[in-house]
Amino acid sequence: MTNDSIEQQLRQLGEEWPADDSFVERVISRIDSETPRPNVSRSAGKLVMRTSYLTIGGSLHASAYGGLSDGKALEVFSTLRWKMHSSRCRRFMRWLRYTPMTARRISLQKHGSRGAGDFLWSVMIWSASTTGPGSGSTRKGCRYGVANERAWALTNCSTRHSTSVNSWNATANVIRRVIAASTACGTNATG
Amino acid sequence: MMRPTAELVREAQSDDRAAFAELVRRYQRAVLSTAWSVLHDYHSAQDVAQDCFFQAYCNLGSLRDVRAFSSWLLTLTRREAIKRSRKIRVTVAIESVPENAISTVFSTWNEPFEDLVKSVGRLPEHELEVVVFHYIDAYSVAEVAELTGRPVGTVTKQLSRAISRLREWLAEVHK
Repeated sequence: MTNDSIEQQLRQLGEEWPADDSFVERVISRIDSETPRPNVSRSAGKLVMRTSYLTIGGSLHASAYGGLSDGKALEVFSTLRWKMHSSRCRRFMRWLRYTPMTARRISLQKHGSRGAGDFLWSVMIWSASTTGPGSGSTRKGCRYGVANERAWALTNCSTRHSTSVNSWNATANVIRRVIAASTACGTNATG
Repeated sequence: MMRPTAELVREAQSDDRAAFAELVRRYQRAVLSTAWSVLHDYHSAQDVAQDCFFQAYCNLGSLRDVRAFSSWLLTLTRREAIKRSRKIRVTVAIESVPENAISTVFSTWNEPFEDLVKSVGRLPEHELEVVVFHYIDAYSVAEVAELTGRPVGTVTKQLSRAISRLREWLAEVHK
């Protein structure tokens, strides 16, 4: 068998390979039906997001920029489908409760050249760690800080939680949808 | 105008379904060939291909280097196909299905190409990708280079190596 005949056979295979346009449709419809998407119900302001980390980031952003009041943000949290350990959820809620709105907004604005991205990322990573922001505690000898948390995330969280800094684009998109959904909910979701 | 795979992956990571649909369209045959080479069954391979694309979509955020999408996807496919083949073996053993039952599901169109497709599926990921794009999907070498983000010379070498491998493997099969 010569090279030419193999190439010829491959080309023939391509020509005779049955066109299956429905394959793409099947994959996309499965994604549409099975992938959890952000959803805010009018009654409870319930958010259902892909992961708890995204939920935290999205809710934090929504509470600072999306017009959600503290009380409503906490209500949203209380109705979330948490996948994470409840103590982490409680710690985050405590932080949200006791950190003034202004401080939150300043933090979102000043951290990193990419705006809120770095800060939200660090909050997401914080939620996965055993120490919280503002607690002054240390992890691997580093005080809490965006840069340190990101470094820690790169070495630990990315493999442990199958996520990475590069997932930020996807995260940002989800957050945008959450905010859009929150806005769409009108007065029920905004306090 | 053809868009590079890396660009589509970046958009798909931002939850762009249209970009991901284009990726599915582009890699459908490469994924199917890979699964087929492991499972030796066209229909099971289709199921695995569908599962793999779904998993790929769900885990796309964990892909750091968008240029590594094809090898990431095809490695995932190979792993899933191996898992599925083990399951099939167990099921067959438990249910005592006759040995020829599985072989009857082969489609008729692919019989003349069976050995060829299985050999293509055995190629290393980077070679498999260019072979499918160039020979099966009929893209020119320049277009394949554009799609994969590799230099034209690299694509040419990879195609040449792949053809040599296929020739060798098919000669063994036909002995």
